[in-house]
Amino acid sequence: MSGEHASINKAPRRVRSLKSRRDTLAAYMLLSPSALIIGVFGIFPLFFTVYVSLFRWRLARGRFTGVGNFISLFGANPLALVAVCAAVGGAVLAVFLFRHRSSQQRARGVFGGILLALSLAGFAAALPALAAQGDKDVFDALRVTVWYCVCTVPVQLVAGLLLALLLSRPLRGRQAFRVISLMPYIAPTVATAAIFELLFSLRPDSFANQVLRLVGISPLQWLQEPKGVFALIFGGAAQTGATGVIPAYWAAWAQGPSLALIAIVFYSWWVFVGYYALIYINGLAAIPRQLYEAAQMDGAGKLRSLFSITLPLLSPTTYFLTLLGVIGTFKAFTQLYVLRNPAVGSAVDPISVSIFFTAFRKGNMGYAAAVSLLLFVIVLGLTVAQQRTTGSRVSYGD
Amino acid sequence: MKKFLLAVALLVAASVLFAQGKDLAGVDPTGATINYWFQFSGASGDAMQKMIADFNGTNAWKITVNGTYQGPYDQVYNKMLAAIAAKNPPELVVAYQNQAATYEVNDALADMNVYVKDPKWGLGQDISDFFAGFINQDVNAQFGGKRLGFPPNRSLDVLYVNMSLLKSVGVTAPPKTWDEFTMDCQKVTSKDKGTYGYAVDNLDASNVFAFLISRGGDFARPDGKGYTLNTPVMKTTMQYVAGLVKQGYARLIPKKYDDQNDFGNGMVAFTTGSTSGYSYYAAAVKANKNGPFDWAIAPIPQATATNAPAMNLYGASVSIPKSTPPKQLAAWLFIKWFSEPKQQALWTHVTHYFPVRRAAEPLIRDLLDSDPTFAAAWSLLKTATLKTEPPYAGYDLARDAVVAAYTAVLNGGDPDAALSALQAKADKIFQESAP
Amino acid sequence: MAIEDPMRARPRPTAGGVTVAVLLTLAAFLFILPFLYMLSTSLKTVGETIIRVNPFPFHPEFWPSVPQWVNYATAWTTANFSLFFRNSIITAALTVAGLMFTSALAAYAFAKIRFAGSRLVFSIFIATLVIPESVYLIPNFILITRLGWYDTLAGLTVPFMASAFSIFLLRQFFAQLPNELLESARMDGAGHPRLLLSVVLPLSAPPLFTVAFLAFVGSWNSLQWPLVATQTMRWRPITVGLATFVTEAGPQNQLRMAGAMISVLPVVLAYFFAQKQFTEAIARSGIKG
Repeated sequence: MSGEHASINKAPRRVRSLKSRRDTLAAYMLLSPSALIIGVFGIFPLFFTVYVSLFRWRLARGRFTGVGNFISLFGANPLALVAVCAAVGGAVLAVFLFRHRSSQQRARGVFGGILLALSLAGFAAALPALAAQGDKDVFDALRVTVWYCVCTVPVQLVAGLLLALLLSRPLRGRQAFRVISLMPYIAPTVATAAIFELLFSLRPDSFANQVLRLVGISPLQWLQEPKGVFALIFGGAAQTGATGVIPAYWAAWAQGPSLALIAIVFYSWWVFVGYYALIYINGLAAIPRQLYEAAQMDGAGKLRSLFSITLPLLSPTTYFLTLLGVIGTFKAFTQLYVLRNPAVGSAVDPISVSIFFTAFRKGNMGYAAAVSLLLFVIVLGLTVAQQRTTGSRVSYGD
Repeated sequence: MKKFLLAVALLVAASVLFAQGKDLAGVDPTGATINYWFQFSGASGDAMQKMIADFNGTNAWKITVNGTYQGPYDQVYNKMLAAIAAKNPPELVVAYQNQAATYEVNDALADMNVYVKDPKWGLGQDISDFFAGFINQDVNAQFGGKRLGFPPNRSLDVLYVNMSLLKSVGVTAPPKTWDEFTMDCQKVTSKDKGTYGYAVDNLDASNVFAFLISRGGDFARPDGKGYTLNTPVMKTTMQYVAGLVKQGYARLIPKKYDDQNDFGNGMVAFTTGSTSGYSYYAAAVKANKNGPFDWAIAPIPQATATNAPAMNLYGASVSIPKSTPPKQLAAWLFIKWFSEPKQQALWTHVTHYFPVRRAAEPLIRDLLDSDPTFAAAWSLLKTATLKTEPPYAGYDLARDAVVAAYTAVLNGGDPDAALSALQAKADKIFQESAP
Repeated sequence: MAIEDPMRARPRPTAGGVTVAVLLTLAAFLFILPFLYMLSTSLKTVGETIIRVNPFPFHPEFWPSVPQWVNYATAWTTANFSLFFRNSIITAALTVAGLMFTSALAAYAFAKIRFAGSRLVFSIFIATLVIPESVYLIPNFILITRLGWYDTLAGLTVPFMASAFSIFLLRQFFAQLPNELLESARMDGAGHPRLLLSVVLPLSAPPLFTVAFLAFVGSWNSLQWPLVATQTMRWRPITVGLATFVTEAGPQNQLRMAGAMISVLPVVLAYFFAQKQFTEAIARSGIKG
């Protein structure tokens, strides 16, 4: 996300050091208003959370427990946690080796491959052990979170890009289209979630069930269906086939996201595709026209221009949206909270909702803080990993 | 159990004796200003503001109450937890028993027994006028018998019955037992007319509780130290409704209160819900496009016919968070004023909540005379065996778990698996939320 | 490519153009369908919301037999929407103004000045994006209580007057501006504030509008914080009013939907006109990315 700092200082060295000191001062002056607010309302809470997590803290500070809350979270035996961290570290190292090998270093590539395979196997074995001794609720919630992220971000990226490409063509009524595509994002969640509750209700005459009827499928429970979609589609097969060889932990994954979660995923697509398109449209606007004209002169077709100019030059936007999407879905709260139905139990409760309940239903702030930190570390890890793997490949067009 | 109750009673007595004269002697509420957080909105919100204004204008101590709407119950609860963490709670707040328990886990509430029993400021002889089942509900065993709240009103979980629909199939009275209930459901279910027996409010654990107690079960362990949810009677209760669903006599609702719509449209013979929903039902029936029909309120069916059906009594109370002695006393004086027959009657007229004392009955006579349905509900209250849901801290989450297990069973899931998972989940919630 | 002179770009009816039009119409239909559902439900009687429920807009049963406009009057008077509107507008305007000020300054510093600690500070800012809201709620509530901002406009706006997200977004756009433009201005002796004001900002109208718009929507739609940070009606926003009303209307879907329409329409209209004005401004100034 960094590394393309454009300096406007091209002066001789002597002048430059003085100038650079002046620049640094100016920069910090410019940063101070946001730094003050972000520091107080954005960073202080994080440190406060670390502090709270070390105590038995209901609504007020209780006794100091050190890592007590983390033991409740991960279980008493640290081996499983160490194994999972080691596997993740190994995989990161393997990817690093792949990316930084030159043609002479085939050994590096082979070693990287072996390391990656070992890491993945270690991860597959260690995570169930960790989940088994740790807090089941948290690991269930993490699964929901990952499903929500996986089901939403890629679709929203592709659909948003397509919509942006369509909307950036000259067309009558384009403005109206733009407004329409953004309406779901603009409208208050409370309002739109209320419609989706009706559209995806279990009533046989609800919109979702009527659409199913058109293709000859009997009504489903939608927002009240906690069963996994794979389990629904393939019957019990996903369940029974797994128990022998695969640990129960992975068998739960094999059932897929609950149908209730899928209904919320549809809602998420509806809300965010227009928003992704908006950001893409801004990205498209920044691509210099001359590039297309030059490509056209070289005889490149439209499709060719798309793949050789548009997509590469949009990569900062794509990167930004991916980052935002992953962070956003891992923290996502409102849409999942508003559309959750107690009938599905915790089948649609992601980690953020689980944290909220720990703090605001059980009144257990210390533990909620510990889980929040876990979420923080995971999202931070994903962000850094994303930056290391795709971030450096992003083209900024200069 | 008896020993336990005795211990509680002794503790209560001891704490009262100890507290008397010590806490309230010399406390002067004059001129105190208190904030009161509640969830009442719409007509009841307006009525509450009016009554507060009345109190502010007439009370002898020049106490000022600022009543403010803070969102629905769960939002009031969220705000309270934040406010307690920031040491900035209001002086008076609406709270369910289990929510008050969560506040008290953090030592945030005043023991209201001190006020109720105080010789100068307390209720004195009037206390015998209150329905014992109502006011005992707020004495919490998890906290050594402290009184964590005081009831401003109460309601019952009842059966709403479309009498016209029943009569059209030759049934003249609401069912008294589950067997009769099954038969009635079967009779009214008709594919052609689009009618069916029972709209299952599977989204409210209170209904499960109501059904369970009708068969002699309970959510709470007798010793008050946890949940008993994986029991044969729980299984019977859930499987019974699952059978109705399977046969097409009963249907699940997509959303809380949606059963009222089916009821108003004359599609369903029975729904279950709080008596406080009375005015909503009346409105729904009135809006029926074929004109209003006959409807009634009846007790939840029982395992065997009885004149004292076991019924789920509920309703939020008001709690006094710890502040300063004058403010706490001022908050109590407002509650005491609110529980006077005149105010109680006024409140009942607006909300159809039950008043909490007998002396209010003559003042709601007009309502009882003009509205036989409400009168029937009121008389139920006096004959029924009243049971209450567990006042445990964290019970809100256990309710969600009950709803999930219930829905799973209704959809044909394995009851044993669902109930053992439910018990495990509830145990965890109990342990993590306990003081 | 995206923002062009509309006068010049008249579509010719080609096969590709038709495909695009069809695709867009389909997409627009999907986007708007739930709103049509909202509209039709808001005009029904309570009975019709259950029994007159064809889910497809081209069917007459999708619509009410007689539109019940009275639902809107009921919703408007039951919930005190006029007060909530005023509050929301003031809160959002103030938040966006503050946010644009702090974000533009910071984004400029990150994008166009090379200074010691730039990457570190930026990373710290970005890290705040990662923190879940439930972490903020309690500490920030304690903070505003201590600052005496409970139930005040300051408590609702100041914590949101800076955001790593807006800074990040603006910085991406600022970084793409050619450095030559700034250099020539710098030769004339302009300082950084001048460069920002007279060179960068005028060239960044589209991203500024986007960021301001997103911030506005964020502020307009926020619910959790306003509920926690207020005690009285004084500054409560429209979302709180709507959430209240939705609860209050209970099973009466027609009223819930009327309330939802009331809260949605003004924002959509405002965006429509703002965007129109804005696109025309760009077309006039001849800026193309």
